[in-house]
Amino acid sequence: MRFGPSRNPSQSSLFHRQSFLALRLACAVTGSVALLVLSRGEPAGTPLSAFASRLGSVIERPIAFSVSTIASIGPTFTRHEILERRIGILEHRLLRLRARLARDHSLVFENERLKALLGRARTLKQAYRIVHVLRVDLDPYRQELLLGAGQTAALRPGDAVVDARGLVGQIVTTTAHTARVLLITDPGQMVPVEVAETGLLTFSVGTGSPSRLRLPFIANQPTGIRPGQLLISSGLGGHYPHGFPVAVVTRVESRPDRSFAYVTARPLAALSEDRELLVLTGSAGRPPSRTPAR
Amino acid sequence: MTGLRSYAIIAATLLAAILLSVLPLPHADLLARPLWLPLVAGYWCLAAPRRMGIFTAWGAGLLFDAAVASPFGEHALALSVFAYMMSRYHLRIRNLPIGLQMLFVAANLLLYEFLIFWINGLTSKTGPILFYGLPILVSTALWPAVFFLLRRLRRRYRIH
Repeated sequence: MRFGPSRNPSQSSLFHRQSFLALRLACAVTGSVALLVLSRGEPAGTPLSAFASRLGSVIERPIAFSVSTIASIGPTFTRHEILERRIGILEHRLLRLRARLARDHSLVFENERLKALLGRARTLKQAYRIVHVLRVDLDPYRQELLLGAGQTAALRPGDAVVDARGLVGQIVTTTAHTARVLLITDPGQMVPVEVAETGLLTFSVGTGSPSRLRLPFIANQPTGIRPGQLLISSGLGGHYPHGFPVAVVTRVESRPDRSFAYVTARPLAALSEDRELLVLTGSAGRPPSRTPAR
Repeated sequence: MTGLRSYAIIAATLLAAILLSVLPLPHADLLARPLWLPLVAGYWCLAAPRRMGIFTAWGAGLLFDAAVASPFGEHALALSVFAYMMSRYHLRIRNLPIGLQMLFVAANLLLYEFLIFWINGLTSKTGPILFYGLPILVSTALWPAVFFLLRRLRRRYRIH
């Protein structure tokens, strides 16, 4: 059953080519391993991985284009009355929100006055940018978003990302026209949070599931934490600005056999459904390591 | 001239496979997304081994790595091993009935996904191994469609 090159001279060129296959494979595998080793470490940390992410942004551009094209087809074929009705609904909602905002505005002034009386620092004004989402990766081992704006839109690694309901995550790498956001539910992501009601400071850790966070460092003795309580970002560490809603506590279970209680929370942001997000480009969202101490 | 056109068509289908794999789809597709790139690259290794070989597969894998931001070189490695298997046995495989072809493709996709799983484990975190299995089933089921579609393309433009 075995065919050797010598027995089949008519196809010798073909078999001759084949005999180099293993050598080619060895070259390709060696090359891949070398690239893997050279591009290790931080994303976009080495020149090679910077090149890789630039190449990626070139490939992503037609995708960004097709996404915006598909998104624009919908309204084109929607009926006029439906659009008018939707505009009416949106205008009503805008009015309602404006009214509420006007009321909140006075509260902000009041708050600032009280803070001045107490001698506390004033809250920073946040600059933000609305960015659309190109892609959502909700693998159990990687919870990421791809945004359709990057360095040209003044987005930087470390900028916090929020939606209308709460904290979404943090930008990790940027290219000219895209940015990757690590979600707060990524297994490698920790967020310093605070229980809004009691001021208890702790951390939330992602689980890999888009609907669950864990609070691994809550002591077993009564801490006042209860299901239904709101968690906001504490702003400690400087990665996230203070005061954004993060999650709602869903389960608190004391475990006398362990050092810490079992506490889970549900993120408030609609991580898999958002099409548009806010990126906070203010300085409060920068990680401290990005501002060199010169 | 016809050689240049063949290369262009092969490159276009590979690029289309990469774009298909990163195209945003409604959620919940993520666990069962077909492995378009190995399917398309594998077909060309079988049908046009002079035009498509290990190095072409390696380049396509690098592009794929850049597009999905996986460790640079990961899919390149797995895809070149996949292309090696397809090129090595192309004379036997392309004459097999489609059912047996699917079996061979499934076995090689298993190897491909195992390599990805392994490199993922070495470089970063991995998920349950079960999540790597579903795309193999979906892709194997799609093999006949890819095969006949690309064969039609190949015959139309006479790519050998």
